[in-house]
Amino acid sequence: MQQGARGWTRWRGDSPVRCSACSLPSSRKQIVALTRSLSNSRRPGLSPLQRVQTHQRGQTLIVFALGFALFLFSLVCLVADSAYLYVWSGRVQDAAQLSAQSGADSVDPRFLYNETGTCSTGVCAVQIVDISAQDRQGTLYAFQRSCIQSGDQSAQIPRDPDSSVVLKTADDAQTPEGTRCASDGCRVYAEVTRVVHLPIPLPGFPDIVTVRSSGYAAPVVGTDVATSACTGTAWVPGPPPR
Amino acid sequence: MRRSRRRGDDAQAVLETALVIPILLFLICNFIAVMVQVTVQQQLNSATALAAQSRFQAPESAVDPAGTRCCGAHGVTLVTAGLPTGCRYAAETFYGTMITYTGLLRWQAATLCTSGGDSGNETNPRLDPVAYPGSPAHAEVSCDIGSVKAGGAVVPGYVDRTLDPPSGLDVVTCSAAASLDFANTPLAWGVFWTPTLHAQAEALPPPFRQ
Repeated sequence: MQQGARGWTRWRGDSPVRCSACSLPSSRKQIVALTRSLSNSRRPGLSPLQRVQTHQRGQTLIVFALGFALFLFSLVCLVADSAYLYVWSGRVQDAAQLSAQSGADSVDPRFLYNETGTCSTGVCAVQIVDISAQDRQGTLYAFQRSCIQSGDQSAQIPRDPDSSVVLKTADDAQTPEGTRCASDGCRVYAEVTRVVHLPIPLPGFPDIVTVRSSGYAAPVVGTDVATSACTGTAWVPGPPPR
Repeated sequence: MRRSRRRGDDAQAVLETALVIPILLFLICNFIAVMVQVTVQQQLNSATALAAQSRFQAPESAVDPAGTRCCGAHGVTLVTAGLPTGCRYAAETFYGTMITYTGLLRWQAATLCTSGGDSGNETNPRLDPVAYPGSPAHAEVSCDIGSVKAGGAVVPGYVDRTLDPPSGLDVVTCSAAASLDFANTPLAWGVFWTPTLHAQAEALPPPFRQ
């Protein structure tokens, strides 16, 4: 029995019955009778108020269990995806550095020395990186071929997105993932893009993340004394995107 | 009666804690071990790839003069006199890159400089590389590289026939293997596995060297 806004509420079974004309039990006899009548309900020993509290406690338990399970699942997703992305960002960064170095190593020293040899002023504005047609195959410059090949292999970029067995080479299209290499004539710039599929994507969020990293490298000139000054103005095949 | 019930509750809490804490510690130890393994594997991949690539920063015909030693990392001294300079460059790059968690690694000894391997195909047999004369046999990395001798004789490197088939392409390969041993760390309490890590990298020569 509990007091409502107006009058009193009595309990019949599990249903409350409002009784506006009821009055408070005043005598000890009435209280004992009321207690007995309440004790004869389906769960003897529990007052209606206690039974309501017990039901509410069960409901809270279910809501808490579901909510906590959802929270734990989200946490596991977040941790697994973050760790996976962290690993892949490291791999892509390594691949970018390696591909830039590989491109820089593709400088033909003979070409370099020939160019510096024709300079008469002492400081020559020559291109350190070979961006002439020499050693060019197809549409790629010599440094690009080495750079792209290293980047694709190191970042494990698959030729077929559904199968990671065969990796891309320099002759494959480098979109949407792949390696992009450019040079300003002095150093080699490489940008590696890798599409990463998250292991446990969060429901409602994208399951694919694009990881991108870039690296620069300069070639080994191989002389004791600097005999040239690189201007770094002629970007091939184009300036870096950023 | 209330006091005995409370004592019982306390005992239950202690028992639950005693059961849960070891499980939690076990999980934490293994999480850390997996994290270390991933980091070391990544470092190993980078080190071998950079080692293979750095071979091209030395001239093809350059040979280390008498008395040349290399590396010096964590007490390793490799005598490279008479070996291709590119091989020493590769070793120095490898040892210079592998700088963390080295105390946990038990390396598989390898011959530093080798030559003449072949990946093989339908018509050509698969060949294992052979060691350069005088190459250290207790290195942590092994590189298969080609070179040009003083008289102009060419020592072949590793022929990868999947590249430019069927004749293949003469490439540089470096490989390393080590097991990750947690025995001397506090992680040994909950980590009962010893993973073996492998890494192999291949570097294509620049066009003017092909």
